[in-house]
Amino acid sequence: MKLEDLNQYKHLPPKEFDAKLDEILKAQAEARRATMPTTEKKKLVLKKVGDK
Amino acid sequence: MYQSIMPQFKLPPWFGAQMGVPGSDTPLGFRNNPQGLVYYVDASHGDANDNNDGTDPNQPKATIQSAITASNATIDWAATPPYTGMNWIIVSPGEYAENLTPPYYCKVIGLGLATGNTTDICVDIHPVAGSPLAGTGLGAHWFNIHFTCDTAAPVLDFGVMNSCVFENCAITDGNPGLATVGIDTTDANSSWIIGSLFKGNSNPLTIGVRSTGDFYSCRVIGCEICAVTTGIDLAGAALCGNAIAAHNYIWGGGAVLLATGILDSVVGDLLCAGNWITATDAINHADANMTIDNHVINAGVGAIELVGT
Repeated sequence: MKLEDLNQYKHLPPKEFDAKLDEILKAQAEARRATMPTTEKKKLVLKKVGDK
Repeated sequence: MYQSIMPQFKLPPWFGAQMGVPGSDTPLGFRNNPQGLVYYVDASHGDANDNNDGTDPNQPKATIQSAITASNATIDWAATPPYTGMNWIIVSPGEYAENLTPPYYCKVIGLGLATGNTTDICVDIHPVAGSPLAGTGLGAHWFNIHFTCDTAAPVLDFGVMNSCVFENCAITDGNPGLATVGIDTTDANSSWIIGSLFKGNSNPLTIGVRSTGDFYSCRVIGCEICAVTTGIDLAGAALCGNAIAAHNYIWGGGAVLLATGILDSVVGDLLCAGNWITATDAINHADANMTIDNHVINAGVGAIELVGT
């Protein structure tokens, strides 16, 4: 589900609607984490640069 | 005496700043931009009623949640952006015993003074039990509001907290030692916590600010954070890139000695600059290069460190 799909849930009580939004944003955050380096990866990269 | 030779003009008595927008033609109307709506909440107003549409200050809503629901209903999630002129909710001073679900793409402005201790001079969102605000943060700006939690829960309890601003707010434990965390999030992105006060009643909050997921590109700047266990806790956080904690005063509020001021012991991406901290361990950080000119007293080792930790 995407943000664009939320109009169909606008009739829900605030907490139930909020849960739908939370689900979408958490999935977006998970996708963002998958594309960004973890700290461990970042530090490995920095070490390589330093070695040069 | 200098006398202007320029002719004097008088503005017309009617100013149609929000032509067609309900409430905007009243002389008391608060006008912000041509498209966003302004909702008024004033529980003490004689004509306050949640059945009002809330856009006329002479007929305000009685509860903040009613204004939030009305504002959220204007969002078209299929549009880009989903809002047309960000709405405002203007709240008059008083105690609001509500457990709020957040507004999205909206500014919530408290009148009065959030630093006031009594509800006659500030907006105090203070439910009987549970968090004053809990849910998902998305594009909400909270300004000059006092949040009080009386039971064992976070004061502000967010799952995701994206693009939010807390500015000049007071976040408090109304029942000594019960509220757990000031602002608690499981995943934050691009949110700012600015110039706010985290304090207790006679006993501070357990933790000031905590993220157990991301704290990506977030800011904690210019706050006074009184806590027992940790001031800013990112020990469980994942992505903390571009995050900054700067110019904060972090301590135990005089009642206790804070255990840890800033905790970024795992990721180590939080830039800590110019903070003033007194704690058993002022800064526990995985990357010493990310701490600049913090003024700390580590009570545990009795050291005063002026540069780095």
